Amino acid sequence: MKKKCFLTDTTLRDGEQSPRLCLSPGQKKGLAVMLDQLGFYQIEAGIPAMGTFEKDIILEIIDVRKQSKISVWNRMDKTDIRHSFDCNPDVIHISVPVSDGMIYTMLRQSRSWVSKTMNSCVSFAREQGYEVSVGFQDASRADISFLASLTESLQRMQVSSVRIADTVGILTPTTARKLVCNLKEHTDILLGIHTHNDLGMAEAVALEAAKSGAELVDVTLFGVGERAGNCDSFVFTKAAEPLFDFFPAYQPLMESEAKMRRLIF
Amino acid sequence: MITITDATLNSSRISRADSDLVASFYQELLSLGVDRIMLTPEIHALLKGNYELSKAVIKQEMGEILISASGKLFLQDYVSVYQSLLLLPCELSFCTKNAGYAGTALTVEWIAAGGSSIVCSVMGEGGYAPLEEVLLALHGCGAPLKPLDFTRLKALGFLYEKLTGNTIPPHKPILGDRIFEVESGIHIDGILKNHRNYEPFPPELVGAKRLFSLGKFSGMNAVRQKLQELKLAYSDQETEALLCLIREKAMRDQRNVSDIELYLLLKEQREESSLEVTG
Repeated sequence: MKKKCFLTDTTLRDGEQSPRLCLSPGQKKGLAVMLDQLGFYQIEAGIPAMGTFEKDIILEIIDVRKQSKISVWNRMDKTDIRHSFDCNPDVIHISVPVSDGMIYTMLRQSRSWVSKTMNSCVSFAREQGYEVSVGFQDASRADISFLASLTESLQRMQVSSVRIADTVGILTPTTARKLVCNLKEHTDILLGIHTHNDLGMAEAVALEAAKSGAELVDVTLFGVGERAGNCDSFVFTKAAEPLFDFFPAYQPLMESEAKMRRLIF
Repeated sequence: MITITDATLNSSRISRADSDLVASFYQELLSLGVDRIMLTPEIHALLKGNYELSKAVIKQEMGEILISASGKLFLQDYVSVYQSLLLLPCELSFCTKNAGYAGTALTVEWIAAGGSSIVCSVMGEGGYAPLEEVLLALHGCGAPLKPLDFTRLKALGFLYEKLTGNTIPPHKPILGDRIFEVESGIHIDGILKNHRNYEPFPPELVGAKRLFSLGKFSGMNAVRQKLQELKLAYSDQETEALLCLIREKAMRDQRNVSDIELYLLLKEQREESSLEVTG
């Protein structure tokens, strides 16, 4: 029997961050309806902290969805998370910068600050009864023992999944395999993989992570996303189908390709 | 040390291209610093009169065994396959044949498993792994590469377009024109603090430039940076109001806001609030 793999579509969040791609509310809703009908496990619908316009679209998407979980993206910040509460999503996703580079030069904080802030943000959303997932931003360059200790506290707080984000697209299949296997040794929490195509390996790295035990894979339609893009849902499903069972399968996804292309571009 | 062979000029459709272009491409490969340049016999004959072809090789005359892998290999335990191949008492070079999404990965993994010789081509011409992706991936892993001048990749990309008539897509890894364009406020803020936060390598490494654009995802620091670039004086209060206008405009027009449009927005805002703008 083939292993199960769950797909999260992030076209409406990371995909839209691609410069020159600006989706109207109608386009976002239209795409969400199609993604939901196709049976994606999760749709990352946007960033509520961006403002009322974004919240309104997310609310509309939640209103029309039939089967997919709708998640929203947050920085590790209670103000961001409060904005998410206004949308009442299925999943609140909190992105936590985890590499020393990001911690020291971007946040200008320390690892222990990150750990404390992450815990308090997660509890904040969990106390309101939300399902919470956490993304390890720049996990590819982070210290594995730090990631393991964060994962252990997240498991205690009953976070539903941890996403390994290869934020600048530098993982190779070998480094991805090691990262997934290492985290799997410390926890049985569901692991997700979020890749970028900077070195032309977004789909291969995602597939190798799934082969190594990651259960969730982030994809975008046509691979749209920052810089060279994200893991392309069409390419990934076609490549991974011999090994995995997932929704949507390649064939039904391809049948909607032309319609989705018209809607995005 | 890793031996890199480029096989772009081994493509039959390039054999029919203009001889000056082919010669320029050959020269650029020399400037980049690859170890060998694989040519079709036709191109070899074409260049022979004009160049010292010390790095040229014809596929049939390669001194080692060339392993050619399809994309199916990636679905298997390819590491074990590589390990058993690498135990063989003979010299091996590795390449992929129409391996699609897995071409770069399989090639990079061959080196990770202990292989030392690979064959690639610019933009994956002829079904090999894309040279530009493999080189930057190996560079990122700290693989033992001889010194290579990656800035030549841009010129190779340009000549590749001329030779094949293909256009390099704007988001193509390494060679795309828009891969260093950033709009997200979070990313611009991170890059300004340290470019490593949101870039896999500095754009200059591959002869490219970074471009900040303004739009729906812009933040305060992105607007401040843009105003500075345009040498426009501003206050924090003004910047905040301007950010709202930029985001509204981007969403209304469904595209980024250009520098001229930014200036007009600023002027409009100044007229409304009678704040001073100098520039």
